[in-house]
Amino acid sequence: MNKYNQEKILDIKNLSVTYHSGGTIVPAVKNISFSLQKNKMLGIIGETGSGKSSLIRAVNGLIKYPGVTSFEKLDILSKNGIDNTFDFSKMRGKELGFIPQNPFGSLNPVYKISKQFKFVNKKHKLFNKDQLGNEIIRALTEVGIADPERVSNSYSFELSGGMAQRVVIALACFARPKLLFADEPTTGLDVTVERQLLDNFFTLVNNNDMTLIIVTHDLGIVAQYCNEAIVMYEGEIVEKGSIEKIFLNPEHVYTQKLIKASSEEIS
Amino acid sequence: MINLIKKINKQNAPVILSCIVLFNLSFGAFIYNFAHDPYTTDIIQRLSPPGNGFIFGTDEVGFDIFSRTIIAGKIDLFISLSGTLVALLVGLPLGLMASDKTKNADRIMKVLDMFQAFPLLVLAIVIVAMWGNNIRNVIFAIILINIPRFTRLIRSEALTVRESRFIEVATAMGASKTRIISRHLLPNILGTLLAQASITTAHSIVVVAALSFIGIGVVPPEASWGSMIRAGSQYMMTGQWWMSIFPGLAIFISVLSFNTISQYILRKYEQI
Repeated sequence: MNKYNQEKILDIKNLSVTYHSGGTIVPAVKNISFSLQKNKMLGIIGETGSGKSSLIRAVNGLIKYPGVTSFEKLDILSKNGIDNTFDFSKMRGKELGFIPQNPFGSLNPVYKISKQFKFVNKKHKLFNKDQLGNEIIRALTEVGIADPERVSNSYSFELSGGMAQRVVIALACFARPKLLFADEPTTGLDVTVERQLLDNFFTLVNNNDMTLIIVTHDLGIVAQYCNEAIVMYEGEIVEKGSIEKIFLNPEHVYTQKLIKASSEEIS
Repeated sequence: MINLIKKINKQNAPVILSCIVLFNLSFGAFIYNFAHDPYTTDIIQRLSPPGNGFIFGTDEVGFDIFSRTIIAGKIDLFISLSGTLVALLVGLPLGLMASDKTKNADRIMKVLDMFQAFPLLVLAIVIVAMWGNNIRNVIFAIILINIPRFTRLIRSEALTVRESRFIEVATAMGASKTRIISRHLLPNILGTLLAQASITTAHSIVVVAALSFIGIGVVPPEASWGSMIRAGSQYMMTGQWWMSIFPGLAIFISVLSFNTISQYILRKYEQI
């Protein structure tokens, strides 16, 4: 299939994010442009503070004052007319999914896990009441939770880090968003748990016709699971392209250093 | 009933006791048949000590102190509870608005700063002196004193909760602004809020007593703990201690009861 025939799911032109604090303006993302085709998996790589989290927050409309987002064109799922006053809440959940960094903080401590699924269900009217219980169990099983009944009846603080992150992923995928963003989904997990979780996660994404943008500083994850990658440095895209191009033939000095550093770490 | 008694344990016994005390003080006036009417004087029996017919003794005009101490609870607790409740209801939306990072939020906080620059008790006295000496104005003063407290507390609590990740996730899942406030923000600050409401009520009892002690707010012959202490204070030196001690004790145990309940709410809330 010719790639130009494929549907463009995300098209960004000159997107900037700045933070205003006490009279000084700190740019986090500087004039970024890129686009993404449907069913691709894009990895955004960069060191801490390179603006990768700010970038995907901005695309989700989650940047709040004192952060300011500006762009020439932001085209999500071929919807034109997204401007600075656009109400993202219409798209959220069903079309845009977001998986944040810290799994514990991402779950409201006053509700049981099943209740949080019910909130998503109520908002997007996915299943009727008789199905819902089974669907919650199925969603939890999908992300590799061995005892879904117990987990759905627990509070977030009763779960381990890996479990909580699986629940967050299951919640974000519950409404089957077309475009899913994951902001360092495996931070703070040990390597074996991380591998299992990512395997489950990527199977889920592949089986449900989702497009994924994953932010990480782990080159291994990107190399193994993604088709495309973007390398960010100090708020700018220094390199973008297919995985093969970036890993086998990196052009930018920073990318070369990054790959060299991670291969040294392995050897 | 037996099941209820079985549930009493070391932890909740003080709370149950506090509730019983507060119930008796607030509704005692409607329940009990007093041996001596709280509003009729018995001038022959004036200044008689506790015992022989008068449980708490009588005051300088022959009022029965026991029935008046119970009856005063009705009015004093009503003023402090209703004042606190209204202050909470006004402070809650104000605090939530002030926790938003907007220009209006800054304005709200500036007005509150202005309010808090006054000593609160003096402010209450000024309000009652300005608008007339009646119970409605005392309640109004209590409300005005407590709104800044609630607003500040709710703002600071909401600020921390608002920053938490799960609010952002709820937004990313498509929850509306009102839904986030009602389903995610409020349940997370509710425990602190109820505990503060209980403490504030206790504090309001003291303020009401202080106001009626200096002779504003509730005026005789209507009974109130503050005015009873005031009346008794002249007789402390001559040996008639019972006139001030019993209403003082009533203030003490009602404040203690509210604080116990507040502690209990906070502890329960921290457990979940």
